Amino acid sequence: MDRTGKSNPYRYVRFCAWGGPILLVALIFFWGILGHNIPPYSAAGNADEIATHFREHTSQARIGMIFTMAFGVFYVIWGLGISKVMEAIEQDNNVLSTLQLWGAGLTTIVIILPASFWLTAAFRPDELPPQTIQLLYDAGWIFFDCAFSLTMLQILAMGVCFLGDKRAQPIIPHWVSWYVIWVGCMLPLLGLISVFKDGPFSRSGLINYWIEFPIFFLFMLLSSIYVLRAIPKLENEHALAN
Amino acid sequence: MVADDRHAKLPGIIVFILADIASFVLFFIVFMAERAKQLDVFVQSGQHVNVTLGLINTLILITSGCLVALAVPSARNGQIILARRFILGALAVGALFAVIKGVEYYQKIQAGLLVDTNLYFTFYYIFTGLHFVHYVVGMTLLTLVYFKLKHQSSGHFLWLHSGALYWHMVDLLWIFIFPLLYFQGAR
Repeated sequence: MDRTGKSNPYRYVRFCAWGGPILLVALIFFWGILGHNIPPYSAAGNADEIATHFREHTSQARIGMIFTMAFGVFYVIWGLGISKVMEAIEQDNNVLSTLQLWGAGLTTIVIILPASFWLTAAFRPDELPPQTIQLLYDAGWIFFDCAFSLTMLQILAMGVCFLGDKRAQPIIPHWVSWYVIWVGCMLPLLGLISVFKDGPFSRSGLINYWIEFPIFFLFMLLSSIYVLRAIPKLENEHALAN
Repeated sequence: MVADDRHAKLPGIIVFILADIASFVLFFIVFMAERAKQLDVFVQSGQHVNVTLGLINTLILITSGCLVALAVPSARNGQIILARRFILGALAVGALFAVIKGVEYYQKIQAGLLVDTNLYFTFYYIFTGLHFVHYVVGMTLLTLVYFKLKHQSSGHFLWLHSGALYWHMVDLLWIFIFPLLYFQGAR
């Protein structure tokens, strides 16, 4: 029995941890490729360019965004998997794992809500004026990037918790924890997309798109790999303790 | 007492530091690329920053960094009281950086030079602002190190080593930011 009194505290946790890689693949395909977000339209471009895209690629945009919304739930599932590993590291209380789970749950909204704006833009693009389509497109991106504090909460709670692991061989290597913390610290730069329409800090710019998104995706990949590696170690620890 | 971790391998914070430095290097490359497109704007705008204050802040950070560097061998040799004094000195000197930065920001705002004035000032506020966030984190870290040394809490040498590395990064970033932003207007 573990401290929660459960005989197998890691049942389903592997599935949860796989939620990260599943979402990652889904995001790249549905949000990135079908949603035409690699890269997004520049904020400096005109409304007609975005309207034309939605009018000419309506079905593609709809499929992309429906599946982005459908797969978005995997973010909170993934967050729960991480929380279960964090609970095995936490010593005094479960504050950090709870914050991480809340951060992951709220980040799920950050994936789903902007996709609903872009889906709305693809709902009747022929009847909407270009400026309205542009407004929906901008609103989606501004929510997507500027709600960084929710994801930052998840990431920092996770990194700090993993660093607090007192085991001789930490469950999650400290270099991974520091990478995670660094990614969390980089996220506030995303807020600058609300100020810049072009240049490196705009939504399609070098820093706020070409750097921020790859480092975030790498964070998801690395975290998933090390959380999946941590589960058998924790199962062994649990078996030895019983 | 000297902590058992005083011979520990390089702290994990080095990953964060290297990644952070890499991101700043990228920012600097972006700055130079944008500068090449608007050379006149950058050169003219660079004349509105106060080189003297920037230089004083450089000296402040270097002095503070030296004091932190002196604290590390002191702690390693078991001279914890001396190490604490060096950290306190580093904090006292480091605090002046915030005062001068505040004066600089005040002067800029009074002169109507804001983040949206032009691209140079956008970079000015973003770079110095980001650096200032690092500085605040560093000062907090050094304060924690001071108390860890005072109470000789477990792992206090690792905290000192990590704090010192982080503080040197704050120095190093400023040493690059200073000429990049402040010497634009120099002839």
